[in-house]
Amino acid sequence: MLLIGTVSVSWYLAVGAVLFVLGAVCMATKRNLLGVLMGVELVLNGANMNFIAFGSKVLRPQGSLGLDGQLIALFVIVLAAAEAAVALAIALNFYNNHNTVDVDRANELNG
Amino acid sequence: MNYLPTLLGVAVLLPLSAFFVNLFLGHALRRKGQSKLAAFVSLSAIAGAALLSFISLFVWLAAENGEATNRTALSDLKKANKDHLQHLEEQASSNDSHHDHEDQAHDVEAEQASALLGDQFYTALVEEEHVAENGEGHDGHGHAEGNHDHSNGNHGDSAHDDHGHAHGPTFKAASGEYYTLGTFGELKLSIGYYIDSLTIAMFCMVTFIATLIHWYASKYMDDELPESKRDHHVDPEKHRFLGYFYNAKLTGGDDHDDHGHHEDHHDDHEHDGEEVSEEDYDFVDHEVVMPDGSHCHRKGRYPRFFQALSLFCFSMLGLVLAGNIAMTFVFWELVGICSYFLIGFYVERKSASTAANKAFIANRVGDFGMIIGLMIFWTGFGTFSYDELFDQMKTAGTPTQVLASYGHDHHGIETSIPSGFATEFYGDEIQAYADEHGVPNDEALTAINEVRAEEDKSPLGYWLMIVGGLGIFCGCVGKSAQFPLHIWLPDAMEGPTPVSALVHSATMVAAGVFLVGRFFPMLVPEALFVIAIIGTITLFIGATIAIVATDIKKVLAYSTISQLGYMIMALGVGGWVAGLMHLFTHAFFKSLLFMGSGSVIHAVHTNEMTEMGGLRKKIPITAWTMFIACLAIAGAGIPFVIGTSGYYSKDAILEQAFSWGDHNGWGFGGPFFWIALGSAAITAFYMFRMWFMTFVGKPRDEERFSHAHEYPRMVHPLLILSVMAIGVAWANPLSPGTELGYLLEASRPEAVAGQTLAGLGSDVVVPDEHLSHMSRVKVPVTLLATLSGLIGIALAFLMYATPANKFLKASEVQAQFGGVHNFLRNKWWFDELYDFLFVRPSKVIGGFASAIDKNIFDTIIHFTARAAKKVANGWSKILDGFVIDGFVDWLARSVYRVGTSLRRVQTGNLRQYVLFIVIGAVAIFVFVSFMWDPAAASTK
Repeated sequence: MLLIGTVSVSWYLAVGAVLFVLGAVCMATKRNLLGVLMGVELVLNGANMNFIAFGSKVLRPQGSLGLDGQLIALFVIVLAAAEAAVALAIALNFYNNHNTVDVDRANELNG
Repeated sequence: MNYLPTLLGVAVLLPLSAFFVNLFLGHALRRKGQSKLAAFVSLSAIAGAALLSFISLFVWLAAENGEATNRTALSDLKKANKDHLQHLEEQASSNDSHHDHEDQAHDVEAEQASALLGDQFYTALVEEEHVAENGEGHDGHGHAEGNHDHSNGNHGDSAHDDHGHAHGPTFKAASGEYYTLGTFGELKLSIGYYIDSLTIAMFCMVTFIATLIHWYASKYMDDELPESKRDHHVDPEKHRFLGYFYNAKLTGGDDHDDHGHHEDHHDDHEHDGEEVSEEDYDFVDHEVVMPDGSHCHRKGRYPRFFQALSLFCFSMLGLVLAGNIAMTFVFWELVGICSYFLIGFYVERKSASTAANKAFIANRVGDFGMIIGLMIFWTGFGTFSYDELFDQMKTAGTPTQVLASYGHDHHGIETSIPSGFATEFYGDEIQAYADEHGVPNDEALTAINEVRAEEDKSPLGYWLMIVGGLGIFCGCVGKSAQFPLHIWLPDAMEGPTPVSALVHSATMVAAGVFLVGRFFPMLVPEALFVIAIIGTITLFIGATIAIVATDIKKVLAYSTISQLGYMIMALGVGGWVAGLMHLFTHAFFKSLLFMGSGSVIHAVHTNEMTEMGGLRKKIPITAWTMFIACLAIAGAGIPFVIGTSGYYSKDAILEQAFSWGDHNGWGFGGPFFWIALGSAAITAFYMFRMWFMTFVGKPRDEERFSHAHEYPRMVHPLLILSVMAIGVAWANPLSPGTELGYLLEASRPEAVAGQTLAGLGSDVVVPDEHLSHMSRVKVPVTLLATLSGLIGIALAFLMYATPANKFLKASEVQAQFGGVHNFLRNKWWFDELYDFLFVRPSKVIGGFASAIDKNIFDTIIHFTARAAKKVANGWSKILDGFVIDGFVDWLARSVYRVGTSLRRVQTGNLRQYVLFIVIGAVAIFVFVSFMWDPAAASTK
């Protein structure tokens, strides 16, 4: 049934939702800072899926939103790269100071 | 001629600029030890002003003599005048000559001549009626018309020429505006000028004397210099060197006088051995005793003195130049405040500060009257400008002034005062008359006045002319120290002597006389009568007090009061030229006397004549210049040949007073003449008493005598002034028509030139001044005046100068007239009288007011204050404490509580945060999906 059905936007949305949830769960459960960062990447890419799907002329011939979706996806990728660089720098510094990358130990600024 | 306003305007501004230079740079100069520069700045400014004034004088004379008449014509006219007078005289001697009516001009003279005999005055008036019946006869008298021609230089009318005032210049007065400050409806305020020969002559006199006084003061005020007192601390050898150094530094080392001054000063130092002054202070005021018994030590005020002197000169010159009364008033007040500064120069001395206050307050009293007069004239004429005022006075038909050349019935006049006076105050009456008779208002006014004239009443509004004129005169009473307000002038001697010389002899007090002279066309005979009375009282009081004064400056002060009285009286009896000429001659000899007294005081360090005597050997130049001045003030001269300046001016005054008595039916002389004559004898007496006491006889105080010496820079001005004191009133043989008398003659007010004025509200007659030159007046008056002067001098000689006082002992005379002496010593008890009349009552009223203030008003105020404080306290507790503070505190506490509870959320656990994000995202998702209806939202 699935294999013969027409691929539509909702398929992509489903994949994007799965990615988003996986990423969120990863962020919420991993104690390793690097794992958390990976979760962040998953969440971002889940969101990217949605943008690409909505921006695709093939998938939505009746009412495409033009190239906007793809552009924003590219933008998010660049943003993710920058964010990863900053986050990894934070991770390295955290490790230098605490000899660990356990996020549960990074609670010194709690209220 | 067109340059005159500019020239004189610059002459006014020069002293002002000197004032500002000294004001802003004086302190800096002082610190650099260049204090003498202040004197230099002021001196050069006033000398520049003097130069400009004399240039103006020459410009004026050139225009005068070049355009109007040439000199020969002028002297012809003078000759004609003399002939005319002789003619009149002959006529007068033959009583029946007025029946001889050959020609019209002759007729006039006959009428006038017969009228001169006092008892025949009214007969002549009656006869004049008949003469006036025919038109030609009237024209012959036509002075009013003649005067209008005056300014055109039209001398065609021979009768007119015969009267001897016909050498009228083409240029009478220049008036205009430098700058209009503003126009407020009818009120126009401007900086204007009114220049006639009087203005120019005043400029020359004021700047000339002021220049000499600056020169004199630059030495006299040396005590105020920082350097001079510092010299006292150094030993003689060092002092010699340092003193030379200072002088060299001050003057560039080439001033001989200054070197001399240094030497003198060295002498001074040796005598004042006991003097100890502090290093920081320049001037030790020995007359001031501090609470701890020491003398007052203070900084020298040399620049400040010259600063005030410059401002004073500026004010005085501005006053003379002023083109309208408002401007005059402003400069009038400036003169007042400057005299306040200068009298109170030694402000630490109580006597000086009270004297300054006294002068200021006395002047304010007078100025109050002046403001009233000013407002009255403004209401009546609608203008402040002198030019317009005089013009209106001329064209308004001015009954009082233009009316009746002598011989007219003094009630048969076209009665109209400037209609402003009538309409302003009698508008309703005139309107009623106009409505009743159906005529225009101005005709109604004329008609009313005609009726009133027939009823022997003065025209409508005439009394306002009297009151206005007397109001202006009030200002003069204050400034020229006339009878009720004369009390300030003697006290004003507390100022430095150069100030006395400038302010209280030559210029400031001259301002009042000048104002009366300037305002003369506006003064009606009744006002002039009051002025004459005040002047006479003043001259008598002043002369009598001067007899017994022993302070040399006080003698001169009372003498000044007396002489001012002469001037005012002269103006009051119609002697315009006589009064103003005396103003000029008096300025010269009185400033000479004051500067001489300053030299004496500087020499012997005391004002008391009882400690002087024999000084003529020690200070000869001072002594003999003062002797000349005494001769001048006594009016000494060889009768009918030549005399000192005072001889001319005082005789002119006496002649006019005599003439006045003649015309008002007093027979030989009249009260003004006899009082003035008696006071002339007293004048000669007290002046020579002063001179003999100071310079003749044995020294009464050997100590002071042996130290006396005079300073070159202080006696040079005396020499110059003594020349002026002798010759300022002499005729100029080289160019007739340039001497003082003719200069003043040229600006005699047009409306009254050669007129005999008759009062409208009374029978006062102000005779034409030229009638006083007739030999039947001139001969007896001159002889009597000379005689009275001689008596005075002789008496003074007998009492004070004969060896051992063989004939008359002053002390015995004093004992004989103990009561009178005491009365005069106490200055007629004026100070006590005023103390009783004004000071005590105001103190009582003041005490009463203060008691009310303290007991009633203060209580109320304190009560209110306490009540207000209580209310405020309570209110503050309720409103501020509970409401506002409560709200603010509650807000703060709430925010704190919320913050505290919220901080628990920030656990620092990253995974928990992620969970919150997820839960939040899901919550939003759920909310958007199930609860929020986009369609419903958009339709809203």
